Amino acid sequence: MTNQDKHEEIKSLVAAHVLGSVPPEERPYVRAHILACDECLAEADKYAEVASRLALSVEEVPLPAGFADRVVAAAGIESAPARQPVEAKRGWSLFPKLAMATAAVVMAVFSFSYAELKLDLERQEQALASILSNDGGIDLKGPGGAAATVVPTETGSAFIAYGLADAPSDKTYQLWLMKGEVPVSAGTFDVDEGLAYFETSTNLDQYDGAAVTVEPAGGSLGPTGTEVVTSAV
Amino acid sequence: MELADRLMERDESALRVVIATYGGLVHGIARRVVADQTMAEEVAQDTFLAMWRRPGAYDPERGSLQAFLLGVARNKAIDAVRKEESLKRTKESLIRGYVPGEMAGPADGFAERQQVQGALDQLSDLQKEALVLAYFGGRTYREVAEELGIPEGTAKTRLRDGLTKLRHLMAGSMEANE
Repeated sequence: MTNQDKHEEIKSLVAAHVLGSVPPEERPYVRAHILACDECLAEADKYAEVASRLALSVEEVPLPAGFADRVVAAAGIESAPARQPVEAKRGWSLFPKLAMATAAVVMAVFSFSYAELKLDLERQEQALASILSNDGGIDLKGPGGAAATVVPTETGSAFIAYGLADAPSDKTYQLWLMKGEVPVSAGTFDVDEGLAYFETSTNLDQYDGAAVTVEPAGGSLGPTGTEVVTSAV
Repeated sequence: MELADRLMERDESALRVVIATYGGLVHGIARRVVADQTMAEEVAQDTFLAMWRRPGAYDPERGSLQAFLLGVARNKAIDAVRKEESLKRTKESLIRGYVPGEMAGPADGFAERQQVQGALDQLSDLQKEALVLAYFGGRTYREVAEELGIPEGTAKTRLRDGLTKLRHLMAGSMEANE
């Protein structure tokens, strides 16, 4: 099959892919082509917005009484204990780095746009390469095997953490970058199943250390809470 | 503070507002896809829990919270019917779901929802049944072809033509939302 034949074959599947109706075994092949082919990418995004709107055609169906309470209870809001970082079986090794690299990939933002998905994947690939090569990054470690790393990216830096428990419901995690002894906030974040990933526009060049603390929801002007991971001093 | 920001800060009242506002629609799409009432409620619950546990997955710059929640719910519902054949709606029940009529639901986005249903009503029956089977029925294009007794190429064409026509019919409102 020539490249042109392959292109035509996949182009005929773009609408089906956008609707989620390409069989699972064919999906990676079709998606890879769409993300690499400008014509198919444009076609996919043309359909994607329409497809996302199909869901709007449904009728509202009232939820049973007590539904919100059940969701709140399942979310653990009313009984969220102040937990310590989870125990990990291993110390700092390649394993957390691989886990963090995986986190960078799985924490993608939900998107209806193929163009945005392509940009996400490119950014994640870059972050993943930086994590594994540790090129100019700052590593952080904590009790119980919790670990994190901040790595430079083209647009600033990316932060990935592994092995942290969910913050208590009225608290948040906050990342601090250190200029000598002076901490500068680089943002607050939450964890999902022990993993966290976010990107910032902060250039890492001027910083020589980092720490994560638990702070009141919304974050603090300066670190006030317990350090959960910190870079070696 | 925006609802999305309050969710990021783990504000329980924000979660309750989201459920009160969008719960009926999220449940609506789950029921549209899944034949079983209890499973549809589970899909709705899983949708809100997913949003709560990973609020960063929603980016307000990429679309409305309503579209995000409906997208997540539909994906979860499709996953459920693909795992369990008995949860799948029949072709007849899926097609019957499209009886033009009065819509109810939150005022937020009401005109847009009415326009989407109006656009769907203007598709040919053949395009509509292919789209409905694929989008709400969780059928692959191969299954659409088999169920409708048509060649796979024809199934792909109907899906593409259906989306193209919807795009033209909805062009005005999509530009207005950009």
